[in-house]
Amino acid sequence: MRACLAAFRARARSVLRYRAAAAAAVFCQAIFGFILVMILETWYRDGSGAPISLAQAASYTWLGQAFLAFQVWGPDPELRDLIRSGEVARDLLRPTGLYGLWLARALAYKLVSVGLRFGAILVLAGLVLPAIGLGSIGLEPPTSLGGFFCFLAMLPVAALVSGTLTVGISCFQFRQVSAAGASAIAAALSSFFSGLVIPVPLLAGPLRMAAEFLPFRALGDLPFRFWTGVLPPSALPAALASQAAWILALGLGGAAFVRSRLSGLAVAGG
Amino acid sequence: MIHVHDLRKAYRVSRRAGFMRRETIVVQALDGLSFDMSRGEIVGYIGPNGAGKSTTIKVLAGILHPDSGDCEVDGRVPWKDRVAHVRGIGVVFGQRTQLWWDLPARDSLELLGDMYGVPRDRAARTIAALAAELELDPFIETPVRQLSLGQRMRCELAAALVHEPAMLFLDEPTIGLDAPSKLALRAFVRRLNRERGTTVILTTHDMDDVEALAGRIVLIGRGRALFDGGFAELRRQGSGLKRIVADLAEPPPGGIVAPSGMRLEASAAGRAAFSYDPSVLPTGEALALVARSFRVADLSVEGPPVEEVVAELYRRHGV
Repeated sequence: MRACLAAFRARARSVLRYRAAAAAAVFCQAIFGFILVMILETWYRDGSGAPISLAQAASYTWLGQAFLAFQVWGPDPELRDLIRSGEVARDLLRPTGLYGLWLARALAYKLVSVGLRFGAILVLAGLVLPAIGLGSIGLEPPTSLGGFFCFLAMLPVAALVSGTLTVGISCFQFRQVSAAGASAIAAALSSFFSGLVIPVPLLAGPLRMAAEFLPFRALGDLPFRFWTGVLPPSALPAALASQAAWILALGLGGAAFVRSRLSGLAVAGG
Repeated sequence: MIHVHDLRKAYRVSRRAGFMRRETIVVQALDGLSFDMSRGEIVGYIGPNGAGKSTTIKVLAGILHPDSGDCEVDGRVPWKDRVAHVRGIGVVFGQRTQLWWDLPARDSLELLGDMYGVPRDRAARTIAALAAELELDPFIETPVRQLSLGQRMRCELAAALVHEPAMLFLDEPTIGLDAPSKLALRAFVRRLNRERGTTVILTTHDMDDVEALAGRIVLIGRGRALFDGGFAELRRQGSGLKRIVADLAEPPPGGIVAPSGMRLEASAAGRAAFSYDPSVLPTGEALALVARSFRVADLSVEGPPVEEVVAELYRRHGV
């Protein structure tokens, strides 16, 4: 456990070294936030039958940009480079399981990335936009205190789902050397089924059901529904239970996979 | 302390066999390797590229699973009991790094102490001692990516020792280092072995490293131990020829011709090297012969360079 905590701290410190990159990412996320909410606004001109209001959809979208770093678009870049170069052999010299080490790293990468970025987007969408008269497409405060607590409770869940999925991609790479294919597929699934592009409540029947089943919704849809009041706080236990099942499945599956791969491991050169 | 018997490990390597087609060939990296090592020994582990040296180290370190054979380190099978095993070993791969690229070296050392569960105050003492001995203080707060190779290598050595392992695997630790760094590194390893009794396996192509540190050499080729013994014994494995190096006071008018019973090995810039077989031509006579044949400023007698003995052994075993 202490070994994993050390791995977490090391990775967190490395990510913190790249604050300028985080600022650039915030800029990009702000632009995408604007594009998405403007598309929503156009839709809602005739949105009489929409399942959620424009204010809710806009808030949901801005939250998506604020917590974008939870998206699973690829492996942890540090681990990707370690596996590619064979340096990952080092990890086997640490007195701890490989999966725990990787999960600790992925969690640090995700949490620090989110931590460096979400504040600026929340300020922009929640304070700046209303102040300049664009409150209708801005971020509204949580509809209730209970909803806000449920949102907060879902954040560690989002981090764990994001972490286990991220290590899952690394597992693919552990087998295939390159993670490019797995990353491309994961990026598409993650963006769509977490509600980043179109809020999940606006999706049509079967797609919405798929999104509500898959683990990706923990990366955005679930916490954002609590914030915007689309889900009542009473829905929290069910949400926690379903995501805990996913975290367990992903974690145990990943750990078993890593263990099974170790006996066939080859590290070439030097 | 280390017992290796009949260890085998094969890799599958793919090879292009035409447009869009590839075939897989099997490379036998270890092919029945056996050797033993006792506590407190320093063994130089040498062999040509691709002989299986790094594979051996990785098996001993618990990273790779061999296909068959026995291997025990300190009573444990490394890959089966990996977590307990790695607490007792330190590893330096000269061509890889275990330091966090973006963090100051000190952070890496402290984090490694945490990873191995070393109590904080103990880790702080060890790091301070290592920093003093390896003279890390001028750059210990600098991010690793900005260190020179020599500085980084010293940090790598410290990183492998934060948890005070009883055994140290050094895989080409002096590769690319300048002379002062090499000497400092050797002196440090020697001290570590003498004062703490640390067992050391040293893999290298630099025979000077081996000669300076190791009392014993294991030479491997094609995945098997071809020679196991001391330095004197290794030299005897060579051609047995010795050589006389002569500094000539003036170049002979007819060019340099070796006296009878001797062979001219090299000549340049007023210096010539002659080889001879001391069992046929005793060294005293050989010296006299050279001194009579040329106007000599200085003479010295040398054994064959270890590099050449090793190259000769590689040739003889066809590796």
